[in-house]
Amino acid sequence: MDAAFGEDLIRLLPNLRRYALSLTRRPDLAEDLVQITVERAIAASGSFQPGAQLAPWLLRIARNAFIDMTRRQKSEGSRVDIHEFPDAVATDGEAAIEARLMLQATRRAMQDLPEDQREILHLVCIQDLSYAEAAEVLDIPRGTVMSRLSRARLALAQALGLK
Amino acid sequence: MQIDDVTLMALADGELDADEAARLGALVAADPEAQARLRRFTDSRERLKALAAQDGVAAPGDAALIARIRAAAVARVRQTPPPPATPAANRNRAPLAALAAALTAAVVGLGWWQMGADPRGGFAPELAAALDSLPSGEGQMLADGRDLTLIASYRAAGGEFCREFETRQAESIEVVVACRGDGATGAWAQRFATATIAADGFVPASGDLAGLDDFLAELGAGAPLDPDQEAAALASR
Repeated sequence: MDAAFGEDLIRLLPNLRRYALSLTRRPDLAEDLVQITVERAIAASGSFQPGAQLAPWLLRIARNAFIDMTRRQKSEGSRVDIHEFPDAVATDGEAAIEARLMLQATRRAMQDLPEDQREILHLVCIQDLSYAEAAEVLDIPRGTVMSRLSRARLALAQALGLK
Repeated sequence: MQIDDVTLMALADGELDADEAARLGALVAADPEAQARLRRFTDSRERLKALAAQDGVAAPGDAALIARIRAAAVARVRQTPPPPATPAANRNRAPLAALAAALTAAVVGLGWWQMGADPRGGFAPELAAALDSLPSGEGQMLADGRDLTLIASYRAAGGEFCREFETRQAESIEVVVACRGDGATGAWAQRFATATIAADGFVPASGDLAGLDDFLAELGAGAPLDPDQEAAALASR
């Protein structure tokens, strides 16, 4: 593992944490997942093809680690949803309140979607992965990414009342 | 002709090649119904994009992870020939900040000042040679088992060339600043050192290495040297 790889990895930590949160939906589990993923990425750095995109490679490791984690967990325990806590009381203007309400609505709509749809939305629309990269993370064909993503987008648009 | 949802979405997401996008763009421009359907894809993406700015951008655990990743990179550098390009010297203040944050938890440390050079305080030739040659961000394993990492270089107000480095053995970490005068006679002298014990867990940093900043300020050190300045200083020996 060379220094440039390490710096690229560091730059992707926020993306990794976001993805871990979206998978686990619990800050403590997300933190565990981020650490496990980083360790695995360091260990597997030799298998990364220089010139390839690091993000999908890394997120795929995270996803597999998450699957391992959940397999090991006998019972899921109670999930404390990170987004259930109300945001800080608004002291700012109407536009800010409006923006916050929109964010809350978007989060809620995301949570109501099936897991596979939420995941594909996260990878493409939040992580900004291309369809091909998302396909790599999820280990599914690009065509499946497209059909699943389109269903998810329409479901989200409907839930949010987007016309 | 009706454009299907998947294709509209690919258009909204910029996943079509230029010709195809232009062709479909023209079709959509003439079709209000297709525009409305396209908007559901652009708008849904916009709304999710807003979430990205909110969630999980930085976390307390980052500092420890960054230190871990850099340590792994350095460990690897020792096994393989050094890469042609070294990371920016002044970026390497970051590992220290990372350590500062990560290690506060169980700092059983004491900082001390060593303004006057200890007459016997010279460094082992191996360490002095590393200070003379290694760029910041790199490191090596010392013969006594300590793991050395160069962190940053400074030019003191008085013109001395100073280097900040850490040595680590198991859980114990020492951060040191050493300076040397220019010219062949200048030997490395330790000017500042602080010891900490690494431990798991995270507590927000609160001045555990503040003594270092004070020292650097007193030194008149300013910002760390950039890689070119550092390379020039290393070559001047």
